Amino acid sequence: MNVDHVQTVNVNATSVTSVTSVAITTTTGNLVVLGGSINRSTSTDTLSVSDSKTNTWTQNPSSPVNVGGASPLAQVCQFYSSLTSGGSGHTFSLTSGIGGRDLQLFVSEFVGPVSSGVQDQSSGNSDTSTKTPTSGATPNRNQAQEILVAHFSADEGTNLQSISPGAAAFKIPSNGSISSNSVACPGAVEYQITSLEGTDAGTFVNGASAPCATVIGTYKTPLPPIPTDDFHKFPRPVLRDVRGGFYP
Amino acid sequence: MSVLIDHQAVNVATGSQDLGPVNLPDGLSTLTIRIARCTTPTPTIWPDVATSISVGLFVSVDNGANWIASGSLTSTGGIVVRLGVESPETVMDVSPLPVGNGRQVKATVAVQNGPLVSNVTVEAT
Repeated sequence: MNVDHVQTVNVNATSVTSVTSVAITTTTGNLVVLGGSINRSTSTDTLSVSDSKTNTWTQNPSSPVNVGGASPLAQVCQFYSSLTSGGSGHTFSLTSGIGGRDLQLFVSEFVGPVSSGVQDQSSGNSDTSTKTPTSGATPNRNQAQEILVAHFSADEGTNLQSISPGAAAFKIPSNGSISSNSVACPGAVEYQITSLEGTDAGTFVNGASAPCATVIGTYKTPLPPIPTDDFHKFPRPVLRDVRGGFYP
Repeated sequence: MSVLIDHQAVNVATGSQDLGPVNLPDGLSTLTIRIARCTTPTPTIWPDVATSISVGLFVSVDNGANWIASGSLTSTGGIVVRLGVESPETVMDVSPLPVGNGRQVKATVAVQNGPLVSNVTVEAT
């Protein structure tokens, strides 16, 4: 089965209660991961997400991540859904429970997730001042073939100058980063399609230090089929008899 | 950057007001909308925290026959302090935009518990 990133869109705004993305065309069964950020709110502010086709959204268990105590300079959260309803005109919304805040939303669609029990491992971490925000390592994944998605958000008062993935295997997609605070929250999303077992950390590299909150989630894809005809995949043993001849 | 709607006055009791449509230059992929907010020097602009707005951006790639939702926000009035200073505007960036040539863009401002007195600027980059 093909496993890949399909598209990413973003919307960010200042002094708002909610934002909604541009309408895109999605596919039923695909995985959509939403990364939401809010700055300079309170640690009790609850971010919620929804979409125009009323799919069910689940929050990454390591999210939200706050940096800066009771009045976080940055808060990042991650939600996911295996779409039971996709199609054209699909929009995604992020809402602050308090309002009057700066919000940022990344919407990323992936083809090829498992149909149920898609979320595997997660991790979240905050850094009070860093150029290399990291989620910290997840526990060992329960399978090798997965989609890894990480988000981070920095304090809105900072200009990160540039953002790149912290590990070569990760990729920031088009529309997947906002490095300056020209509008709202600087931050980014990165992803990796992996077939290697292990633990994972979402790490970014910025051009300037800032308080950052980072979270990663790993999402299962179908296991490759087990070969049913191994006989022909390996060389047959060559048996020599005591007389120096060969068995057929 | 191209300024599509430049500080157009909005004065809505309770209801909605459309801005545009205007032409969206080819090749641009980000829309920015700026809505003037209440500050101490501008007390008549959107002063009431009970006045809420919902602003939607729409792009057409077929000369206005169909409009594609291209980002929206909700917000309430009153003075908001951002980064230690009163915020003079609510700003929203959205990208990417529907692709095509000869596109048009319009904005709709819906108001509850009006009146809303403000001005709106729409830019594309």
